[in-house]
Amino acid sequence: MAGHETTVGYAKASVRSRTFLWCASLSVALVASVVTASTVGAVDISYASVASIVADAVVNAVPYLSSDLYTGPEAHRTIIMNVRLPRVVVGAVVGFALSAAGAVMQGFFRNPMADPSIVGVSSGAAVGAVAVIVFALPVGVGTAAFVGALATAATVYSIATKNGRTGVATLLLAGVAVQTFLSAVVSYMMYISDDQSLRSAVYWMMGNMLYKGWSDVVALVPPVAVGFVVLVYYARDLNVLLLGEEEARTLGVEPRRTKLVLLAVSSLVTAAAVSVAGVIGFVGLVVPHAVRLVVGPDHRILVPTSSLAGGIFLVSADAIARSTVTGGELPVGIVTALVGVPFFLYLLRDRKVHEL
Amino acid sequence: MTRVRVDGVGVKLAGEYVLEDVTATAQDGFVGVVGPNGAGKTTLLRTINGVLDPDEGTAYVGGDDVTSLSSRETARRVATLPQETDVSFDFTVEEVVRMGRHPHASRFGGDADEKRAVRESMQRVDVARFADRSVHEISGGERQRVLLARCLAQDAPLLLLDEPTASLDVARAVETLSLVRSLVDEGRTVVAAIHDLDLAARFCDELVLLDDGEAVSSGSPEGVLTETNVEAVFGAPVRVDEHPVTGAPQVTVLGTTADGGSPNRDGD
Repeated sequence: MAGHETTVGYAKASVRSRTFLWCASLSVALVASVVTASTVGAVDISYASVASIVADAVVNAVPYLSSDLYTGPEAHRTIIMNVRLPRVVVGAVVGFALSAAGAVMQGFFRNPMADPSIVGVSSGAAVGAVAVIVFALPVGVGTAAFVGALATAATVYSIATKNGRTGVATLLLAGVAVQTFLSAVVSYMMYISDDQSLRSAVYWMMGNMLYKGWSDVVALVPPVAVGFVVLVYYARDLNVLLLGEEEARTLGVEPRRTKLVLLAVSSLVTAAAVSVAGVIGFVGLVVPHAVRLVVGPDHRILVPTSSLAGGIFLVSADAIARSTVTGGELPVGIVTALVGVPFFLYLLRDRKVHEL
Repeated sequence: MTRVRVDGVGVKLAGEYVLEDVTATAQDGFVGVVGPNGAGKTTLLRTINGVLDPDEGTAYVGGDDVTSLSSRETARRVATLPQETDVSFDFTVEEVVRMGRHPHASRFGGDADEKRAVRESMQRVDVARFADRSVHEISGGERQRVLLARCLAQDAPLLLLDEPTASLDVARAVETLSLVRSLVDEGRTVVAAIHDLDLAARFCDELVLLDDGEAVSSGSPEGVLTETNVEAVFGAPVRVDEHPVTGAPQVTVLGTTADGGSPNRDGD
């Protein structure tokens, strides 16, 4: 064919160096947002104090090293280390997890409205959590939510699987149906509950990071970290899977195994986040969308950058939730929706949202 | 070496045979699969690339039963050009071509040949000049060439093409098949489902004529595209001449049979 010799496109940085640059800048931004968010609260603690307290804590955690950069009041150190920092870190990890799972689910379903809970993870978590709250069951709310979330995802998956094949459309519909069913179950439990547990249940379902401590960080980090590595490991296969199952197979992807792994791991990561922080909407829907507009659809870049951006988003939303109301705080789910929805609608109207 | 052999292959979809006892081989060369809509052309290709498990018989690729190979190993031996692709999200042309390297790449590490293979394939089919454009911004014919570039980047000795000219105008169709022809002359094996009998006759070394899931004739284009064969399979009176320029058989349909029975079944 006609020989249009050109080198357009080859000078572009490789996927790996682009991923590295994006992730490095977003990591710096995430650390900055964590420090900034830690200055927000009733007691006025400066940037410099927060930064030196955090630096001291990090250095002192390493054997044989010690650091005493911070010279201010010890009470401030206690506030930062025991109250503010753990909840801010929980926010960062939850936002990270929801956005990682959201990016993968949107690709998996080839659907822009897919969010991490599309196979019923959040509804399952809500049933577990609300049951514990309303019936005062002797189980942790987080544990019940986690079990409920995974049980629901597994149920939806098995409903949609016939003769070893899982249709994506069937999965989507089964997810919607099961979610509707479970929200009826939750409504019923709330209907028969007393006022005090009704209030707790509603509060849980709105999503919040109140009273989160290091134990929550410890519970959250292992499943999210392992899940994230697996999702990035499969990012290349997910790109090819976007072409459709049959075409993916001719390009060397095992569609069934890949789909099962992606779905199971996304559900695990989402379940971990939801069981700690409740149902926080729109993070996993809006963040991957916005990031895709900037970095493009390649999941090798999209998954890690969305995750970091999701951490930044939720940390910021939580800071707003804590600083808007005097003497209390808004559930962060309200803030993410109030901020997230207009932004999403703006993207929908004003920017070229990628055809799916 | 026999690159592909199908041996007594039968495929049932929804209880009905769409392929029945098809036996054919292809070595180096360009094999065209022809026949009416619904004759099983696409199904035959999907059996060879391992997407379908045949209910009877076996498809061999490079000497091995294709159902015994991993999809990665199959993809290194067989590249498939789909009729049309539904690319979700705004991937660029270059990103789509790079997906052809998937069976060669290790997960986190790279693929030493990726850059070269992607560049060469894009230049080969003349899509390099819109490497950075979105696959949604180019025409259907251009997208077809992008997919062909992806097949080339896959570096497989066997190429399956499902109606490679269906979305192209006549000049582009000839251009594409000439390109395919030159790939064959360099030693690749190509099996292509081709709608247009004249183009198939002109470019292919051998033809397999399918009718209602059965291979009714195979061999040289002159041997397969006889008036008797074409009339029997397509159910219309035809005349076959030698084309004055190319010398290939040329099929002219003269009308339809009295019962109006021009087979036009869906589900090809």
